[in-house]
Formats: sequence, C-alpha cells, structure tokens
Amino acid sequence: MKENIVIPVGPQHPSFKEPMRLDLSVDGEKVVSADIIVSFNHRGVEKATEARTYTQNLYLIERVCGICSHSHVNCFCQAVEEILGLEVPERAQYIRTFIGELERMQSHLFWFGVAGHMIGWDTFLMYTWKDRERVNDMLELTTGNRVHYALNTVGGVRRDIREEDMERLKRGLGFLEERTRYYMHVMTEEETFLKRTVGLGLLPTEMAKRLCAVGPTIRGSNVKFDVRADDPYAAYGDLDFSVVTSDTCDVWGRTYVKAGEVLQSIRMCNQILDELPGGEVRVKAPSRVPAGEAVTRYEAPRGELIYYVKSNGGNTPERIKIRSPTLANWLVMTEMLKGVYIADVPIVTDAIDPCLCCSGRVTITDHSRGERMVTTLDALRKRGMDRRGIS
Amino acid sequence: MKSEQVRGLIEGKVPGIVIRVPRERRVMVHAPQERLMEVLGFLRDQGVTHVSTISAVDRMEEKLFEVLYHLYWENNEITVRVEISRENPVIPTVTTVFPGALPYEREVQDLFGIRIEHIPDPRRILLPDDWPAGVYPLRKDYTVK
Amino acid sequence: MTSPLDVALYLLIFPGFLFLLLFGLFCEWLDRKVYARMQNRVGPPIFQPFADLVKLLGKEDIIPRNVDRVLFQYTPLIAFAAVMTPIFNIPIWSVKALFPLQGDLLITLYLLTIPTLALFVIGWSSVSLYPLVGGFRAATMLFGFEVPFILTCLSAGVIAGSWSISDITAHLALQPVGMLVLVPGFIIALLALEAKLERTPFDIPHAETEIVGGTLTEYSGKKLAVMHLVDDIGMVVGSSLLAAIFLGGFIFLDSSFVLYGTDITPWINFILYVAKSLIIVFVLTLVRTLFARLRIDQMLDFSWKYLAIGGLFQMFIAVMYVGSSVGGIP
Repeated sequence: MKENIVIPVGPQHPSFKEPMRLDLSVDGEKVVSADIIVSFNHRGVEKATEARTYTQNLYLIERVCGICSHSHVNCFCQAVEEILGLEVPERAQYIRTFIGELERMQSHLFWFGVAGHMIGWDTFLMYTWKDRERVNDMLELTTGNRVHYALNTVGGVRRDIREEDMERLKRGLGFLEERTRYYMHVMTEEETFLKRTVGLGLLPTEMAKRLCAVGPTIRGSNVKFDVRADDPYAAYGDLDFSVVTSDTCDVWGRTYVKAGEVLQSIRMCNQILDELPGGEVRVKAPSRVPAGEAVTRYEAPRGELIYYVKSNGGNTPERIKIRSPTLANWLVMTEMLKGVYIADVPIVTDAIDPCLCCSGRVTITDHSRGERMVTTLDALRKRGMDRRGIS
Repeated sequence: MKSEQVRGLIEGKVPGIVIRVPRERRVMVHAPQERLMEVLGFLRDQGVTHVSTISAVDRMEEKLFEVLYHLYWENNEITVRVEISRENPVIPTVTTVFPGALPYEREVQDLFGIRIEHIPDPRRILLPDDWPAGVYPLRKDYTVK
Repeated sequence: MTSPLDVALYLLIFPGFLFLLLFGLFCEWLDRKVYARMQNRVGPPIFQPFADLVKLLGKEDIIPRNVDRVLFQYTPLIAFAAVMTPIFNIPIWSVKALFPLQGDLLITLYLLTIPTLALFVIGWSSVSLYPLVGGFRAATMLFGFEVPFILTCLSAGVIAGSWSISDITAHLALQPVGMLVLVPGFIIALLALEAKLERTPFDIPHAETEIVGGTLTEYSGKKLAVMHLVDDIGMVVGSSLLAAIFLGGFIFLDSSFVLYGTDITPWINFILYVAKSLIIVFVLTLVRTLFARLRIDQMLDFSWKYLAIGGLFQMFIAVMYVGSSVGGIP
C-alpha cells in the first residue's frame, strides 16, 4: 500500500501569523488529507472573566483579539445591556457601527496584504498595507488609538465624533473607495493572481452550510449569511447595504467578497456620517447587573461572533462563553485542503482569515520545563524578570 | 420569521419542553435531558443547519451542568438548554444531526469534562497535550491560584 | 601569451573576483532599491548588500548532524567558481572577450547550469524536509527554463555563424540588423533568466511561505554568504551574457575613438556594457515586482507552452535570416 508522506507544517512557520500545526498527508505535491491542531496560544480568557468585574472585563475582552477587538467588546456590551434592560442612545449605536465598519475595512485590507504575501506577491502587500494606514489614521482620529480602541462601555461609547473631524473622515473614505475599486480591478484582471486563487480551496455550498461555516468563507460559497442583515444590532437596522456573496466557492470568491465588503463598509460609513443623530453618547449603567442571561451575535470581520453571558446578580459574571468566527471555520478548512497542491496550502489556509488568538483560550501551563504547574500571570512575569536580572 | 412564529412551530411537538421568548429573534427552549436528540432532530427536519456554538455552565451548588445548544435559523437564535448531572456528566453527540457541532463538543469535553458519547473525534482541542487528565479548568472548583 | 601576473590580475581583480563582487553587490542594491521604490517604500542604502555579506560571514556556521559533510560544505564553492568563470568569455570592453574560445557560448551555458544543479545537490545533502522539496523544485524548474534559454542563445550563434560569444558580438557590431531578428529570443531569454535566477514569478524553490527557506534552509554563515553571492554574480553574468549576445550590436570596434593619441574605445565600450547590463537588471526587477509567484506546474506549463515554442520560433527565423539575402556571414 502506498504510504503518503506526512508533512508537519508549524507550529513555527513563516506562513502562519500565529502558532498552529497542520499535519498534511501528501502524495507528491498534492494534499490527501489535513489535520489541524490549534491551541498553542491558549490563554484562559473565559475563566479569567469569571474573576473580574464587568468593567474590568471590558478591558480583558477587548484584548481577546487585536484586529477585531471592537467586535468583542461590542458584543459583550450588547449582552450586558440586554440583561440590564438598558437602552443605549442612538448616537452611540451609530458611532459603534462606524468604528465597527472601519475595523472591518482595516481587517480586510490587512488580509489582502497577507494573501499577497502568501502567493509571493509582496507588491500587493505593500500597496494594501499603505492604504490600510489611512484607516488606522481615521481610527486614531476618532478614538485616539490604532488598535484596542477603548471606545465601548456598558451604556454607550466613551468618545464622540467631533464636528471638525467629519471633513477628514469623509476625505479618507473617498480615498479608500478609490483604492479599493483599484484592488477590485486588480483581483479580477491580474493573471498571476487569478492563477493562484481561482479554483482553489473549493467549498461547495451544501458542505459550507452543513459544517456551519461563517463570514466571508461561507459568503464566498454563495450563502447569504450575515448577522448584520439577518439579526440586526447597533445601527444596522437603519443602514443601506448589500450582503456580498460569490458563487465561485473558491479562494478567489472569498477575496472578492472581502473587497466587496470594504466597498459596502465605505458606503455605510458615509451614510453614518451624514445621518449621525444628535444626543447623548452614553447613559449611566447601574452598578449591579441583575441575574439573567443573554445571547448576542455580531458580524466580526471573520464572521459570526457569538457571546453567551450569564449573570447571577453578583459583581462578577457567572459565565461568559465566547465563540469566535475562526473556530467555526476549522472544520471547513480541513475539507478545503483536500486535493490542494502543497504550494497552495498557505493561501487556502489563509482564506478563512484565521485569527487563532480568538479561538483558543485556556490557562497558562509551563510545559517547557516538563512541569504541569498552573501559574499566574504575576508569577510568570516575575520569573521572566528574574531571568533577565531585573528586580 | 418572527420569534413567536418559531415558538408556535416548536410548541407541543416534543413532550416536556418549555419555550420562552425573551426578546425578538431569541427563542429559549428548555428540554429534559432524555428529549434532547428528539428536539434537535425535529429542528433539523424543519431546516435548521447552523450551530452557532455549544455553551456549558457549571452550577456546582445544584450539582448540575447546563449545556446550551445555540442554533441559528430564519433570523432567530434558538437556544436549546438541557441540565445534566454533575456527578456523572454524560450527553450524546449531536454531530449525527449537526455535523458542524464537532469543535464545540470537543471544547465542552476538554474544558468541562462532560463526556460526549460517540463523539467522532474525542481528542483535546484547546488544552495542551500534556495537560493532566481529570483536570477541567472551566469547572467552578478549579481556581487559578 | 599573457604573463602569470596579468592572469592573476584578471582573475582576482578585473574582470574577475573583485569586479564581479562589487558589480554583483551593486546590482543587488539596484534590484532591491528599485523594487522598494516601485512599492512605495524607501529601500536600502547602497552599502546594504555589502553589510549583509559581512554580517553573514561573521555568523556561526552550523552543520546539522546527518548531512553529507563533503557535499554540504563544498558545493557552494563549486557553484561559486562555475558562476564566475563565464565572465572571461564575455566581451566587456571590446568585441573580443578576455579569453575567447571557439564554442565558449556552449561552455558558458553549461557553466551557468551548475548553480541550479548545485541547489539540487545542496537540497539533497541537507537531508531535512524543506531543503529536499526545494532541491526537487529547483531541478524540476530546470526542465522548464533550460530549453528556451539554450534555444534562444544558440539562435544568436546561428545568426553569427559561430559558437563563440565574441564572434556573435563582432557580427552584430558589423550587422546590427541581426539584433532585430533576435528580439523575440531576447524576451524569452529574459524570462528564462528570471527563472534561472529563481526570482518571482519563478522563485518557487525558495518560496518562504511554503517551505520555509527552501533549498538553503539548513545553511548559515559563510556557506549562505557564498550562495547569496552566487545569486548576485549569477545575475551579473547572466545579464552580461544577454547583453553581449542580444544587445551586442551596441558596441564600438577597436580604435573607433582616439583621444590625444590614446584609444579610449575600451572605456566607452565598458560604459556601454555597464549600461546594457543595468537595463537588463532593471527589466528583471520590473518583472519581479509586477507578478505573483507561480506554482511549479504552472511554471512548467508556461515554459513549455510559450517559452519553448517561442524559442523554436526564434531558431526558425534565425535560420531563415541567415539563409536569406539579408543575412549571411561577412
């Protein structure tokens, strides 16, 4: 019987931004089957939230992910506000949506760059990341930060969009629209790009639905599944936008969906700036959260994000369950890798836009010393400092 | 579909279930443990395919685990909740009905120690390989010192 | 006969080792700078490639336990020697190269194949998985670009009626029309050279995102420095070869320019040579910037469907040209 060679890819590998292991069973240059092992980056966030107050959790939850941090805090705040029965002012909802869409744009532009790098096209990476800086500038203008915006709080947002910034924001949006249309043109016309994305990582519609894929991954397989349209939250009920899908079911389709989404985001941002309602940006939230539970969903850049928050009336939550979109796309990733050339593994893996820091969360264990002791952040920090001779 | 319509569709179809509609687009279904597969099978037959996730809650004082299956269908997030014994937490796999539920079942098994019968892939998913057996971090009696 | 001192000077200084080293580092800088500028970046300062070389030479040289020691350690030197040698057959300051030989075109083509074979040997002797795959890919690519490269270079030989590079340059200097006939060949040879030098869109053997460092994954320190130089000097020699046989007509015959009794033609020709080589390097960089990396099967597909067929076509029109009234050897 012919034995396939198993190529382990990772956990340290130049094509992964985060540690992950793919065990690829190959026959020549083609992948026969794939097994994915994540969890090298487990941090214990869900457990940690049970030991912190709701306000402290705002800061912790923001750091679940760097690139979709706003999604997480937003989803969490929505859940707590639902348990409290708190009505958030309209202006705050609009601002939350605005930042959320900017975040989506910045995440997708980031992905274009990474995808370009995966297929050996660094020029594309340089161009898209330069334009992404414009989005980061706009985020910094409105929230004061480029990452981890610290904008949300239970009851609203902590900063307002100033009148004098509107002009710059609008100009930024105009610039980004022009650039994104150019990228849309490039990805539809450039021959070498097409050669490396069309027909790859096929995910038939039925399989995508059966394995519960989410986000641009499932929309690239022709399924109109978008939390913003299906289960509107924040200001999405008032905004005009279309859900972008592609019927090609391949990597190219997912790229097309992301580019289309950036254009839709720009459209929404313009509408938000034009129709921003007046009023307060936050209401005072009660200090105690009564017993209760809530299930909230959010369309993060990578797909459906779902939070289940349960309160027992105490000052720390009973349970916060977080399911990030990348975990939902694991099963389909294994399927998509079957029959793919080794050379295409990076781009196919990357097409689901993996964000593993969102997916794996558990307690710190020091297994480099063969010890199964569970340690706290403080102890680790101290040990790290001792090793470096800092006291 | 309106949440009240969803309630109407499920009400009375399986004995012992209690349905609550806390707000629009959210339907909470409380089912007895032995009726879990029946409820999920019924929902699947209606056309439900998407499992958003599976949550678990440790109710240590009441010696129970709560397992919640969050499903999405027709604009509604339907949560099916069952309570199982904490002394001997066993629950059947739902991957026969919803294949996409596999990662979430593995997560619940890994972090809570709830044994999922006939799970197609029983390996750890989030904890490291050398994590001690029998130690379940998300249980309430496990504290980070 | 040239004296031993002269030979030493030629080998070590000009146009040998030192010249190739400096020109190679300069071309590497030009490549990286132009690539960066086209991507809206600043790019490295001019001494960067030299600094990189010095740094690599000072790094620890690790030899993994299970490798074939002899092959692992000495193959880079063989590749280095092979890639430097053709410069003596390529005309630089005159229509005649330093040591022209009948058939030196064929010798040059063989010598320029050795670096690719060396990469395969290195990949093989490294034993670990990623270099092995890289080595296989390097050897596989050879089946793609070598045939078009040889066909187009030989077409130039057909037009000149000789297998000596110096004769080709001399012929084109006297009959520049030949260069027009060779235009398709030039384009094909440029693309084939891009593949030979393993640059995007053909940098498959060392595709970082797929197989870590590719063939050279296990190399460090001095050996890696030598292999980088093989790359740089390969670019110089390859560009010089193409400059001599496809742009060969842009050269002046001896004693065309005499200033104050001194024949300054060699200087003029040298400047022309540098200009021609740099133009070719620039075109290679342009190609590198514009395209994404192809897969190995796509590369082979492209090579056989377009490059090889194009090469045959070039050979055909070269023969027709020679046989016609326009061509013919003077």
